[in-house]
Amino acid sequence: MRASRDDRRSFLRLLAAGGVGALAPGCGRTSPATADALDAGGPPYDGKVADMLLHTERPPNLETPPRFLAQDLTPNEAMFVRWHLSVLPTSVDERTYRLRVVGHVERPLELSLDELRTRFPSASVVAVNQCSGNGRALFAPRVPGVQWGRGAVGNAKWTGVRLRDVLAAAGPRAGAVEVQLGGLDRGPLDSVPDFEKSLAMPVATGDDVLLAWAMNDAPLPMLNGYPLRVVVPGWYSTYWVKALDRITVLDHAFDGYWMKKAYRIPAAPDANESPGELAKDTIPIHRMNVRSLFVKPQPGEKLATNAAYELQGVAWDSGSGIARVEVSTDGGATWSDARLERDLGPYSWRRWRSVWMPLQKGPATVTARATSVAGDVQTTRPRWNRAGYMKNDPERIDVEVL
Amino acid sequence: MGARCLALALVLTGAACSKADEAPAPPAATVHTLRLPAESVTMPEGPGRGQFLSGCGTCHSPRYVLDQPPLPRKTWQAEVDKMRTVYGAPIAPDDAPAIVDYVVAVRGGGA
Repeated sequence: MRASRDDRRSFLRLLAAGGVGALAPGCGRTSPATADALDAGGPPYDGKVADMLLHTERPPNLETPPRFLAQDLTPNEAMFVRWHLSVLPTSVDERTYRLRVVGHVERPLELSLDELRTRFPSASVVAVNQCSGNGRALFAPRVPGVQWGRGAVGNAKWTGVRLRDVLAAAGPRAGAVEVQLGGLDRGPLDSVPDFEKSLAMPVATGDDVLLAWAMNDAPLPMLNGYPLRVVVPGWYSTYWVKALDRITVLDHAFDGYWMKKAYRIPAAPDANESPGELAKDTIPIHRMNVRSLFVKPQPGEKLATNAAYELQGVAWDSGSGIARVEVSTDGGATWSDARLERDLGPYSWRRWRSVWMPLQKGPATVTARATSVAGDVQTTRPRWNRAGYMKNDPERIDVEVL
Repeated sequence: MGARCLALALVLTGAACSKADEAPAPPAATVHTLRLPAESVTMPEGPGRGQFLSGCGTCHSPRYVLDQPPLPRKTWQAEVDKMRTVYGAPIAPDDAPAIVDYVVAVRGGGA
């Protein structure tokens, strides 16, 4: 096992030498990327809309354009892309791909995609896929990391099999406490820790945790984790390991870099800390908080007086569902309830809308706050933490009424 | 296992436009491939640019730096330290100060 992975790693590294383009010299697409691509719309990426916001090319980190917040389901062509390691799978053969389930189990498994599809009942869930750092660029003071605006999030229907069923087939032995999840991506150097995450057994065996091969009823795009990705509804997508090829059942807590050093939040319930006084106790990030985002209006939009304008947005939480979205058109002095649109399930986002008739000319600030079925409300105090995670204070959108 | 690696290697070779007789192209549905656009970003000239491109560019796009907001020197110092000590970036200790100076020149500032 180890030898094989090392062989493959060396091979992939050879391919990666000299950069991404080395894989297909002469037939790779060349695009006029420039330093201004973040604003101009980046170079075209396989299967993605042309105006994905380019943060980095190697590895690819692409943000969903704001207009897609207007839809119940984010099209596959617009789902954001986030990779950590620069050697990502650029070719996957269904005939040779295997998912391995190993470690503290009675019956180690090697499963092809066909075997996964035929041996286990399939399941689907509509769930929000959101990066822990969605909104990092809006932190004050600013923090390092990929500078996501508001588009490191999408909502999709995921279809696959339950992780629970696959684990049961392998038969976790007594004392199994966690599952370690790893994919086909690799670091460019041996010293770069593999991107691996872990889930405690009670989370991993939850009803809704899937190994998904389809997003919105189509095969996962390569950029979003083909052939298989973990889906942990309600949890930040750092756990939604892409191009999954190994599950290791552990009888101890996983101590890998991406759990012990990265993706950690202050242990305080609000995940808050201050630059001058960083939290000493940190824990792995986990469930999403309640959040709403505007799709209309966008910042700086010009609205007309005495004309009905429809405020629109989406809201979600970690799986209790959205009970209420309130909007304010006077900067938060008074609030009224928005109308909630179609309910696609507790892990889905829910679109909302509210009609506003601006009467006064001049600058105005609209804001929205969501309340979950569990009773959580978006906090008004902007959150700050050193990694730029879990932003969810109500958006304040400045517009001009003409 | 060995066969699997070989198969993967052949498939990958196939993706690189070569016509390997041993590995006829399988039906499209069974092999999914990803083409990534060429990377082209021009980093500003300045002292330390060469060390930056070789030391940092081995593992990731230079654009990572352009994506950042203005950050104080101590933050950039911590980033360079992390890249060296945690990720094993191929940066000689003697080159680290020049790289910090360069990224501060490109994206320095802030609180």
